Amino acid sequence: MYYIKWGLTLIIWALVAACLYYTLPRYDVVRITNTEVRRIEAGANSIFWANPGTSSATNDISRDIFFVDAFRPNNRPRVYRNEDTGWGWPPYFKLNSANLQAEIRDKISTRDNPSWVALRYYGWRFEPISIYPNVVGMRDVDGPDVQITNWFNIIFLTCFVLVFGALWIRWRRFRERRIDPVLERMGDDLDAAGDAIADKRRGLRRWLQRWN
Amino acid sequence: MVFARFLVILLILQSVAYVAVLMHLRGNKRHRLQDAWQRADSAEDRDTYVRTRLARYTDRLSLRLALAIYLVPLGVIGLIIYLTNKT
Repeated sequence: MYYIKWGLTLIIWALVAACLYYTLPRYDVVRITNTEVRRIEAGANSIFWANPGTSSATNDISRDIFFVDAFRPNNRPRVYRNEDTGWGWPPYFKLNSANLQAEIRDKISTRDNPSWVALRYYGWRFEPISIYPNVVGMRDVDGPDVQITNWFNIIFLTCFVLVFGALWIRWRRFRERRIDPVLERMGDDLDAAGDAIADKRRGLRRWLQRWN
Repeated sequence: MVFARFLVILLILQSVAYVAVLMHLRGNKRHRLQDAWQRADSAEDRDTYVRTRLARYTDRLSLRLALAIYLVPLGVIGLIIYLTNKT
């Protein structure tokens, strides 16, 4: 029972951590090599694609998406998508994907003459199911070794832990004041019932033994 | 259409938060008033003492809480929209 409870707690926290890791913004220092528009079919992986634009309401499976090809300083490729999140989830309220695409295209450079930028993005790149992180913003940086401090994440996670801690303490106090006494009384009642049954059983056994 | 859905969800969440916070703050105030009644040793009986003052507290609180809970998130969202789309 103990292991089950801890296992469940662990699973729930792993899910929360995964959601946060997917949704919170991160930074990559890259050089841009190409931008394009590709048509994608959002089939089984459709939760990893944003809902279509801010203009239409229907959920098309087949859509045209902006893509950005980039290379990290170790010359490994990173491909991002550039989609409006609009009024949907995650709450970035990103409405300027076309403008952002134009700005990114302006920054295209070559391996020999690189121009480094920091892309702010969220999401995962997982090739087996063809999902791409979503670029949310771009910033010029001086070189490939720049360290970027993710202030938003620091502040957000601190507040998240504080709020969760505050709620948890209040839940514990509420439980001790209201729920535990009721459970103890229920436990006592069950024990009393168990004793009563045991007494009756002893009586029955003695009566049976008299007949042996 | 998506915008309408977003607004509806936001309104629902804000209303739930408003009710929850209002109940919580009123409960705290009620406890403080009960303690104050014992200390004050007034002529009124406890229920009347608590009820009148709690009503006054709720009147003053409800407007400010509504403004805070309904308007502050809109401000935050406006800030996010500006920051995200300004590149």
